[in-house]
Amino acid sequence: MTNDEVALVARWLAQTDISVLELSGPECHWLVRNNGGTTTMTRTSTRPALAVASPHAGLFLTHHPLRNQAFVSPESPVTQGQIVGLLQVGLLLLPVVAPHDGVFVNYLSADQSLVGYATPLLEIRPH
Amino acid sequence: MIEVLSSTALATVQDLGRFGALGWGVSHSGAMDRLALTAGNILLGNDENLAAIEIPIFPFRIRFHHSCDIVLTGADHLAWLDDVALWPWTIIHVQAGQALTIERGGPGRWQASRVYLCVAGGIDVPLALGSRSTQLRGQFGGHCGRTLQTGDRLPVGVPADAFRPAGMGIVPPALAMPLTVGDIPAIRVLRAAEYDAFTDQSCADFWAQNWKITSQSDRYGYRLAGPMIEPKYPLELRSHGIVPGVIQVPHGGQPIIQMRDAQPSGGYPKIGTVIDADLWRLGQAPIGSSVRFIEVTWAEAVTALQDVADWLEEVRRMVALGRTVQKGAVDDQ
Repeated sequence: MTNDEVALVARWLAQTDISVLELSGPECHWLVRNNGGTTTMTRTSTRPALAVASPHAGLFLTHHPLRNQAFVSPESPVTQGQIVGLLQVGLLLLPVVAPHDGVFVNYLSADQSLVGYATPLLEIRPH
Repeated sequence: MIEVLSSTALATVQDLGRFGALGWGVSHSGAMDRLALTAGNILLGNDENLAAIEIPIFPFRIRFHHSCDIVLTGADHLAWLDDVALWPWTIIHVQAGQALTIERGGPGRWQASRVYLCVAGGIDVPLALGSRSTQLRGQFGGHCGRTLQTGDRLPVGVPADAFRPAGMGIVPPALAMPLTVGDIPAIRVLRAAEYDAFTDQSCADFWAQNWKITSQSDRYGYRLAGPMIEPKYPLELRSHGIVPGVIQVPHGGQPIIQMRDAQPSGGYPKIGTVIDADLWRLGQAPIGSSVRFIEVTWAEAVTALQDVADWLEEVRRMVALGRTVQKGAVDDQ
């Protein structure tokens, strides 16, 4: 179902005594709550997470060398092109970017680990 | 064109400095952290002496009136382009109309004070005595010879024809060339002409104690606080030439280190000189922090200078390599 279709269902739900409606599809799960005529819609992607592979060989960094905090944390949203890691080659830092919008799942390679071309670095679950 | 939105004081336009004019009483000026400026220019494919904005106080906010590429080098402070968080020492693509905000502090691993906003094409203010650096004492150079103010509009030069991949960066020199005594940032110092005129205890304390950078410190000089440095006998000197890095000891016994805007002459006795290779470290030391001095020989100072030159050469080489790699990745898409 599309967002518009679920929104239509939510409007119908608002006119009933039904408090919760769950819809499951191949790519997402919808939870529609009806609180006395006011509805809320929550969409959770059920698409499988996709691994982001290393574009080069290098030292994989989950955080910038000047920072202590990782670029992204589990379950945080990411947008296409966002830096989610770095590959260090000597003193050069090359970006690892999110190839698509989604939710960051986890790092698959450890911080400061030496990785080769195409090594899976992290997982992002597409919207 | 860049427009200054914040009312932050003390931000200035600086290149690597104004040389050859000391004889006219004109100080060097130039970036307090020359490595940060040079590396930023290398990342952007700029001439290495192009001018940037040196920002010592935050928050600092500007708006870009045209699309361009920038790099924030020097200190790692929290920064945003509109509402997108930025990473330091990294090439950033900016769209016309976007606002850059740099806030004080951050979760950084390097405590430093000055951010350099480097722009592809450089800040294109007119040359004055061969430099774009702001000469605050003489009120010339830079932008109108003064610190930046709200509403100032700064011209940007024509960028070089270089590939500038967003997200590519380098490891800052503070991490690549760390120097500490214990956990205190260290600065290497040569003995100066009047070193032997100070008491043995003062000389021992000079090397062995921590020196706090007081709030009476700026681009002209850093006033330090620590143990009393006392001469063996009253010292009276005629004024003579001094350069950035010279450590004078006035009658109060608390040293003053001459920095980039220092006047070119002075008459206080000199206990040491910060080596040129470490002036960038000192230029980044925050007010209120402490430093330690490490004594070096002339030969060690020359070696340190070569280490800095080698680091910059490696930056040039690796950035060129990075451009090739990233260009190949873009062409493959």
